Amino acid sequence: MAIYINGIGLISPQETKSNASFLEEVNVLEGDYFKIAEPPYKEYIAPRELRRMSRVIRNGIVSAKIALNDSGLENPDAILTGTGLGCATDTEKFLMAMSENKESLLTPTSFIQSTHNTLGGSIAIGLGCHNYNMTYVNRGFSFESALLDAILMINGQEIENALVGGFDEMTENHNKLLLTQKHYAKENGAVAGQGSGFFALEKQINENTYAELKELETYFKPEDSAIEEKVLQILKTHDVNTSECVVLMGFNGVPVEQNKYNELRDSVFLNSCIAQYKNLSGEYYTSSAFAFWAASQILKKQSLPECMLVSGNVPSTIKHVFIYNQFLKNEHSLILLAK
Amino acid sequence: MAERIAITGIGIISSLGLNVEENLNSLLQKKSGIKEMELLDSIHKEIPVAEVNKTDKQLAEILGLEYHLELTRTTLLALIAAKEAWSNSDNKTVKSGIISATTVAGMRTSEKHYADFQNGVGESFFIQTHDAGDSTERLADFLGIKDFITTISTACSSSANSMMLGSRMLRSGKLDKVLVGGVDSLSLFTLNGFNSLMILDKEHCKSFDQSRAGLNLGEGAAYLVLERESDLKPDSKVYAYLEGYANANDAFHQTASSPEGNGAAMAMENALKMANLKPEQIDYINAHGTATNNNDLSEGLAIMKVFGEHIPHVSSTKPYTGHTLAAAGSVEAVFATLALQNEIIFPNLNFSTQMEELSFSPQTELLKKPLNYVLSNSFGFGGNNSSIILSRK
Repeated sequence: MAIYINGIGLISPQETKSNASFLEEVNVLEGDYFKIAEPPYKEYIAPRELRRMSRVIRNGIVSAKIALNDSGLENPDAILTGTGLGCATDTEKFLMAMSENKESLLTPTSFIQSTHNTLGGSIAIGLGCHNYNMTYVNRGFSFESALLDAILMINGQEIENALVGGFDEMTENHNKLLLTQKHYAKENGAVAGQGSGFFALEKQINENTYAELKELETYFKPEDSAIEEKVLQILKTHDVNTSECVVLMGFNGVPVEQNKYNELRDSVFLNSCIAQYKNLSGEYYTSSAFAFWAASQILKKQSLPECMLVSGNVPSTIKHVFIYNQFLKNEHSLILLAK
Repeated sequence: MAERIAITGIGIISSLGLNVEENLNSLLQKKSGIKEMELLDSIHKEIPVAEVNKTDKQLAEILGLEYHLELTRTTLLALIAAKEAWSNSDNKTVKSGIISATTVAGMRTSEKHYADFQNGVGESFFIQTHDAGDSTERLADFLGIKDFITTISTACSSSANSMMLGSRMLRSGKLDKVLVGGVDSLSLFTLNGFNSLMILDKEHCKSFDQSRAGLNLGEGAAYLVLERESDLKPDSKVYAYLEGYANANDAFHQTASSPEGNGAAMAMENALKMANLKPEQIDYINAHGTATNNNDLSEGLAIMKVFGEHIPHVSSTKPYTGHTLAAAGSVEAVFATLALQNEIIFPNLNFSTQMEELSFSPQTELLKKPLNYVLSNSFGFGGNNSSIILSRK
């Protein structure tokens, strides 16, 4: 069964809130990690609600609204979110208050808002949507799992459409922790980022359709040759001409991960246009939602922003975008979108 | 007709015991696991909790593992229950996966070191075990499962929800065998969180009682193995079948349930619809029944709305295990399979007075009775309401 991406919304370190533009200008990294280019929240959220919401919830709500408005979908049959860290700010607030006040005189607000499904629940309340509401939280598989559940539900005739999103926030405190880890080390490490991307998926194609979602596969700690074999199989199944394909890879500056990307670039994707996105989004558990947004734009606009190009020539007709992301060599995901 | 899903393995660790047998014995003996706090290092010693009465080192010993700091209590509890559930499985020939659930993940470890690190006097190793994926990935490594893994976190309905994706993975043919369930260890974070909401009872919780005064927190893990019925071998042990499930959102408030229990009623109705059952065919409801004012009222009213004149036996097993948060759904799914297998309805402990808003009282004595269908409810923050229906054959 065909599944179409009919609406997209992304709040990120880049100016992505309008789908009419596509990364014409680039916000360069300032400081140790990528900060969000904050949208004018008041245009999307009533002041009374805004006051209570943490930043990650605000950005999540705004990106979900942009995707729904874009698609015209009002009450999705399912709301699925993915997040690696959930609501980091509220979790930290409660942890610090607990320590400072020695477990006394605590207020519940940050505890309540620290749950991973706070955003999914908030979107449901905002829409008055009583439908299926799920939140996946497995590191580099978080957004992919939400997407997979939506695909299975649509293909299994349980639902006709779904709102699917991936969100994560980065904080000063959390980044301080990450900088002690090899993956994020100043030398040969990734730069942490954040963002929230939502997508309206539907069975029906319409005049606003960005792309068709063809394939999604995840691999946990795969054997060395497994990814390449799987890529070849997907290319064959969907009759992908690699010279008409943009390959969006999760290059993040970490040498051990870079190897795998380079290997594929120099073999199966030798004829393809290779692109990157973490130079714009930073590294985070649900960065593939940024890639998913970019891939949708690439296919609809039939262009690739210069800031994403790594190597090869941009095909005159871009028929497919292949997304390959990995996290710490453990979680690998392959996503294929078609024009 | 959708492919039927069979439960072919179960495993559990809770304050009632370290395995299925010990849990069943405590249930039969009406022995609650709620006690004075021993292992959790909190100032709130006046709050009773349902702890697994083993230290982390002892849990590692049970598993034959050398204890180290990156084996969090959450991981250890998960490994013990998952190992029991998976013990009849070999994952060499089939595509197997894990869908686990947790709310606070490695928090029990993080909260000991977090503030020190931020204040410049501590270490950062806990960042490896802080997030929700950690225990699931260690579980996958431990059991040698790698075709698919993911983790769910929808507060207190989390592990009930793992059964839904699990079923879809089987029906779509993506997996042949899947371990589903959830885990949470007690933490200062949740204890103080629920305490700040003022919904913790200082006594043993009284689910569905007019004088109920809040919940008790518990910890534990429970896992179930799901397979397609058509793949079963003649000698396969089947504990129960998963006939229906549904998740609906209350869309009312971030933490409180709607007074009339809209989301809860929808979850039960949709699960019945999927199972193709009439309400009167349900023999027993293992309720969410946390014993908070809000939950028991809205759940009770939702049960009345869905079941009308035919309210089945209802009991909450939270007065036994405490509220095990993300693990509650799978803990109670294991209890539901035990109810079906042993033809027993577990009593709702600590009950004395019927709620004035409700037309029914819970089952308070152990009841021996043949059961065909059991419905289990799990409701969580974010208005996340889930119901599952299990059958005996």
